[in-house]
Amino acid sequence: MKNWNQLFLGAALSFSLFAVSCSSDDDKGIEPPQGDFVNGYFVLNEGNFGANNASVSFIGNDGTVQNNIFTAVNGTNLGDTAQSILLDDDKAYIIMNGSNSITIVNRYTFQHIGNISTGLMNPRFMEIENGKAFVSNWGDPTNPNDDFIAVINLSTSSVDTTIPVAEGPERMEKSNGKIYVAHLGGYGSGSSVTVINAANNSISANISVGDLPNSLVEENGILYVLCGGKPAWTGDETSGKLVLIHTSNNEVISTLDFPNAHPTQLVEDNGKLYYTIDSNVYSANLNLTSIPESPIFSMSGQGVFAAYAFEVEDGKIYVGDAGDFMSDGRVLVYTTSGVLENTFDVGALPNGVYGND
Amino acid sequence: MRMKNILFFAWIVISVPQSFAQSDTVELKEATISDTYLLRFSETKHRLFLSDSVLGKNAYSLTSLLNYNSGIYFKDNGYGMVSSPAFRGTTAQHTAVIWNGVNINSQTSGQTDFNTVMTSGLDYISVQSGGGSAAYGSSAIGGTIHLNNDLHFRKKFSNQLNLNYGSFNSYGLNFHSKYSNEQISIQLGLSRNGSDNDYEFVGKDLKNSNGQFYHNNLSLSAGYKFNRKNILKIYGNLYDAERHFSVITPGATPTKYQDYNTRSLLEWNGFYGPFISKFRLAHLEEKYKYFPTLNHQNPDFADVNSWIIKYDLGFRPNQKLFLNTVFEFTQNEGKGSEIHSQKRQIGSASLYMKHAPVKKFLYELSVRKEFTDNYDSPFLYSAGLKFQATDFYAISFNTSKNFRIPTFNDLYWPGNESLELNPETSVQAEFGNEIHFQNFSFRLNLYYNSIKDMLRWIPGNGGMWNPENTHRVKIYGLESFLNYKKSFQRHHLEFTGTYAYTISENEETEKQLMYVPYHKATASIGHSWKRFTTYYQFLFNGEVFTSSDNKYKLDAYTLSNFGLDYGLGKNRQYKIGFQLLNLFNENYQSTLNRYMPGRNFNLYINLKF
Repeated sequence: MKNWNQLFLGAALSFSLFAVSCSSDDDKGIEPPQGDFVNGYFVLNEGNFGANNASVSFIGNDGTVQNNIFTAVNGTNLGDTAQSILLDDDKAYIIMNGSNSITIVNRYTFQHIGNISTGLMNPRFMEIENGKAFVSNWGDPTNPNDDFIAVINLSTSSVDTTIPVAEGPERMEKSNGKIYVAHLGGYGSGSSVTVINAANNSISANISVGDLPNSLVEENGILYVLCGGKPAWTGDETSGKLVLIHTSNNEVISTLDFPNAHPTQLVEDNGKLYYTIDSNVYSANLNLTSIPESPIFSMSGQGVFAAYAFEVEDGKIYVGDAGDFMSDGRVLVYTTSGVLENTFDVGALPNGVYGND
Repeated sequence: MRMKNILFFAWIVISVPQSFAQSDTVELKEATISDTYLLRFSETKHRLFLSDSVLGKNAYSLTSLLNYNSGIYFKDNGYGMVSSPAFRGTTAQHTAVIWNGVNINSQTSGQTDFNTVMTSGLDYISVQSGGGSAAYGSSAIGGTIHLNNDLHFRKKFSNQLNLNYGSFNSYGLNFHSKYSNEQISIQLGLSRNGSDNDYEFVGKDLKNSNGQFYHNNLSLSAGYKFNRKNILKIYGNLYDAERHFSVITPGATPTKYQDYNTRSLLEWNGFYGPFISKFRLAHLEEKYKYFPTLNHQNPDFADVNSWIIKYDLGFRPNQKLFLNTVFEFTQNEGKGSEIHSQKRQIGSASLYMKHAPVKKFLYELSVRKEFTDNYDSPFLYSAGLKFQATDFYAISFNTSKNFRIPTFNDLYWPGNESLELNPETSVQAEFGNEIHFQNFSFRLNLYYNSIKDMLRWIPGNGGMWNPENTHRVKIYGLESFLNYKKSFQRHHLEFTGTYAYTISENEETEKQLMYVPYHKATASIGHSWKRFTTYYQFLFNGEVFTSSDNKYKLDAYTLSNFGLDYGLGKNRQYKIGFQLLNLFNENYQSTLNRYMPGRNFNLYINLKF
């Protein structure tokens, strides 16, 4: 029934508005990996909400694509509505938003290792610090007061404790034993960043930023928080902001206003920041003092109206395009000057790209 | 309790020749039925009648009834869950459900969930293929489903009680009582159906969880005949249900949904010489609550009240000609968690004509124009003819323009208020052939349908979703219906079958629409001998695509049901029986990853007194 479709649509809308995944992982001097899925990158395909058709694709550096690798290796469906992946050590943690669980696999073979299936509700993103996993959860997204960060003991795969936080904890960034949580705001709208001391799971600060902080990166002691601003349909439209914060004292260095635009997808590569506004891709220098006026290129020539996934790694820009949201999407690979190098067909609603070297 | 069964004995493919010969009974029929257009002007299209003895058995929802008896595809989100039809290759919003002549599709969503329409308490259901907007307004594009109560004015008192119990703790209690004399006619229907619905998935180590549901339905119809010229009638229906929505994966958050719908209709019929006058006042309320968690304090909701005033004047100067004008005013007033209080008013004027200049030939014309501030309303029409070529062979032709108006969600969802949305429009034509002998009838319809300005929610700049008048779809195909009956000695045998072939193509991508099968077939065979009745039902659904690029699909499946009952009492008026449903334990889905039940059983008792 359409009522129900509407609800799905409402949910899909919230995902499409806010959902992107591009946590860059830093390899930590691990042994040369063995397995089918090395020297390339994963694409996380969210799937349609309520359809249990989330999947993972692997694109090798040689340009070969393997779709639906979780099912190919393990023989079962991945689950419903995949939100993000965290790669850590030899494991990949796949956050399944619709299934309220985290699927753990070997990142090189994709062999299923286990699940974290209790204590999560509407899980979004994950970070690991001090040997513990921190997972942002919206709880019931219509309830602004039940949102939390689940702290998971990775040796037992169980939620040890939860940290109640403001509405809609979304992406996180870690730095110097702290976890920075951007409050996108669930079904409401958030406008702050919570700082958590990873050692004792306590909240050490809550920093006001712009409306709907959707992505954040930390580089050289500065936290860059990109805030999309409230969309027009809320009846209370606000424009986007980029907020720079000292991680040493949580003080805001500067707030840069976007002229009437809703930026999203902030990532960092080789000392440069990248983000998108609708079909345009922008880059900026670190420590910037003003917002760039013109994009480095537009994706509209490829029919991309908004990047559903966005990642920049080693001078390549990876964009996930969800197409009509009712069929498989694709990943487009550009150079940083906007030359389209490759297009790959992947699964439904590609929302994240994760290098796996 | 899967596919609460349908004893197809009652499956009557009403045949063509009823039109001409029966003019002396027109008045009688006009007095009993409220859906006047169905009675007067639907002869150049195909109508399938499913009568009271089918409905009175144990089919409780429209989905299970029509799935086994028509070419309509149903997309079920699990057994008993949200169910949407694809009628002649169209979308869920392109089938209109008409209750005693009133279009009851939801104002918020533009469609009807066929698992929320109870078949008990009705006298018959008719399925009319093809466009009907000139008569029924929005959504009558793929076809219309008519739910009817007949109010007769003759001495009669009858009661029917059906009880059933089956797998997954499924139960049903349906009671239908009728009393009438020359002056008064009253009908009461009561039903309660429910299930734990925790079936095991075939071949998997998983159960359907959080799928429990119940439906309560109360219907009341009454008529009072003042004299030969004046009859006052009321119809009412109250539906109250709670369905938990089964979870797609074990860890998913359980949710539930509550429906509360009321329908009321007051009707004054006047028969004044060649004039038939019907004044109708209807009120509909649709209310739903969606609980994103089971104990949510502030569930999502919508509540729409609709008022319809209709004046219908028919003029029959002689037995060859029927003219009809209808003026209608509709007001929908709705509010919801996403929609601020909104009011919509629509006026319409229609003109219908049927003319049978010679005995073997008739034609029909219908035109309708709506007036509203909300959107540009197209001129709607239907024109058709029928020619009874020989005693046993008739051909018919019909062409029509139809529409679906933007829903409350399309128009008033946050961010949509300033959008300029127009109705979807459909222009279609069909050609019907019917062969009819005493024991055998066969019908073949060929049709073509072009729909443009399809409203689709699509992501735009910044990922914002909005409805847009975008796609064009062309649909063509065929439908066929077969019925055969034979009696010898004390045996009665009946066979019915349907087959539909459907191409429904997005004109831009040239891909088949999602969840529209190329092939669907149904068949039933029944046999009765003395006090025993056995029956077998068969359903074939061809593969359907689950993605718009036609890359993913659900496999075709076949289902079989078997039933046996035994009649007790002098007139075999007490029946006790059982059914085996999904006899061959087919593992099937009609919506991606929504597994349906395997083999299950149902026991029933039907009492007439």
